[in-house]
Amino acid sequence: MEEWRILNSRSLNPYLNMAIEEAVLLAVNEAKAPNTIRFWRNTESVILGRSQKVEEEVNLDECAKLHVKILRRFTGGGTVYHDLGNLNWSIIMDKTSILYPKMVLEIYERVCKVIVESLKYLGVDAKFEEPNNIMVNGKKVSGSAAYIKKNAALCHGTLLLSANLTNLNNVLRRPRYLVTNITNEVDLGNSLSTSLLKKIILLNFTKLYGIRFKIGKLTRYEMKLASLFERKYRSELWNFKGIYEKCVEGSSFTEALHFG
Amino acid sequence: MVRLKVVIMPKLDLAMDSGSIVEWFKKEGESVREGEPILSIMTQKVTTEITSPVNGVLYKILAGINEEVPVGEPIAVIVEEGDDIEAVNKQIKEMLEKKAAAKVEVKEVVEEVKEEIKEKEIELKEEEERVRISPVARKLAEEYGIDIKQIKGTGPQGRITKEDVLRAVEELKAKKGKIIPITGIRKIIAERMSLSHKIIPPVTYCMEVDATEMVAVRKMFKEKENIDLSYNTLIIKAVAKALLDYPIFNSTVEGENVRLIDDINIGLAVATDYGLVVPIIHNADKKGDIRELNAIVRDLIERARQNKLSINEVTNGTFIVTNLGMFKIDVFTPIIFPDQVAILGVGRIVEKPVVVDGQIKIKPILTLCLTADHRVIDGALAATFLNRVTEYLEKISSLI
Repeated sequence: MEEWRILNSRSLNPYLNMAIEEAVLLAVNEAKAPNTIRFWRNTESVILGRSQKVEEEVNLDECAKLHVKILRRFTGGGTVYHDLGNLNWSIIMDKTSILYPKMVLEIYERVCKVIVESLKYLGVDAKFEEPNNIMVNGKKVSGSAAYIKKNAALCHGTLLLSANLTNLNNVLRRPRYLVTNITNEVDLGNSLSTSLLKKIILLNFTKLYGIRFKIGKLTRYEMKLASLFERKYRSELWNFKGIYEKCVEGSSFTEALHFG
Repeated sequence: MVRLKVVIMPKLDLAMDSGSIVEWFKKEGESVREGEPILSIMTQKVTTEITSPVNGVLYKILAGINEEVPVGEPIAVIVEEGDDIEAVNKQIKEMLEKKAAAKVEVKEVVEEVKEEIKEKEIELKEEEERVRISPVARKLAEEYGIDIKQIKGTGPQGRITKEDVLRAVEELKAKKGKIIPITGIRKIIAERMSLSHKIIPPVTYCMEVDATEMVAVRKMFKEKENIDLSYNTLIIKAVAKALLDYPIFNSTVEGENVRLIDDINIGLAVATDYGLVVPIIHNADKKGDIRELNAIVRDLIERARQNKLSINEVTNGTFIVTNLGMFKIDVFTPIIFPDQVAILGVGRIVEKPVVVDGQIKIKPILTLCLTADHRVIDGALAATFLNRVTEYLEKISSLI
């Protein structure tokens, strides 16, 4: 049975959280960290896909007014809105994992299946919709993105529980889907806490793929990488233009960061 | 001669026919190590890093950011130490010319080839006219189909005489034959079939099917609903069902592994004026109504003949049915397509005497010929599968 690490990130800082995503993938790719499931949340922020144009996707004035931060992630796909009502989940695994996709497109189906089953367990009629969405009553509650490196893959996604949808619709210029919160679609009373949801998700990973979990933390190496990457995610050049420079010239990390 | 180290757009997924460039991690002229990521691409919303196949220098980037590149097309060239740059440049040029040519629609290519042939014919005629030859000799040469440029004239000023032609006829008798270049679809078929024979150890298994019920079902649809149910539809129906029973026949060999493919995408080999075309019936097992399946099959065949299929309609096949019944073939040994493990050949339906309960009866009989990859499928398993297809066909009304 595979044993994975759980990272329950306490940081709500979107810059650091995004940096950790990239750091963990790099570390797993270099066999310097175990397969990982990570849960994390961000304060109000808009996250662009790797290749998107900020002026097309984001209402900059609204963001300024509402103090919504703007970041670009390293994975592709569409722009999403995060706040504390949104739970982010990430799967980072090496090639030998049972969950690793045999073909690239399978990655979403395999991972989203767990989220869908978890929602069904709560009585939510959730459906996976190709290629990478989870829908409830025809509305989107989760979108995901994936990045495949030589020896490892990352798949991360959102899960709207009780996000501020008014803000979401104001800051995104062209939402492609009708979105909704799970708590808007199903009356779960006060029973749905994020910690309960996380537990259900973990249980379903075990049920579907036979993966066991153990609480863990970032390695020293991952922390170092993350602090380097955080500079990138704080840089306007990266977030607004998608351009980045070498972080640390001549550092031993430069190679690992494959910057150039 | 330098062997060009070309990075191509990889096929990462059965459904992938192209990918777009997300980012180049390296600039032209920068050194790269084997296994080091040099770019990332995006296909079907998944970003994937592509690594360098060798140590060397990223010499040429052939596709820019956000450019959509079809699978198999070159995206970069890497040179190794000691490579002859001039030779590399020459090869890149040739490759790019080829790439540009490949982008032209097939139709245009056909037109171009036709143009080319026409031009060549005119050229040849002009050249022929320059050859000194007596009218009798020219006529004789035409009759025998001899290229007069190949004949050495012995007449005045090298003029070709009747005797020269007759001598050439004698000489050429041993090695007579028109030369037809192998190009276009013909070339693709040639390459794929050679590849198949090179890597796949094939065995063909034949089995007779009592087609009484197939004939009856077809007749019934014609009479009751005025639907021309194709025998191919019935065969595809039966094969799709049998593939669900025996998924190993719907698989692909990948190095040391066999991948079972979830989707059952049955191809039907169709002879057209352009050559062999194989339209694909995607998810054939999920087409519940035989009328729907029949409509799809008929439409695909029709559009295959008109050369009007889209790329999606000819890709991602997982198992192929090839029917030579209409050409009065009973038995043949089809060749497996390179990324599949089996193919079903279908012969004609012909009335034959068969023994039933000690009595000779006349029944319509169809012969199925299954070729299977012996690396994956042994004889007994092939026989079991073929038996299953036969059972379904002999009781086809229970499937529709």
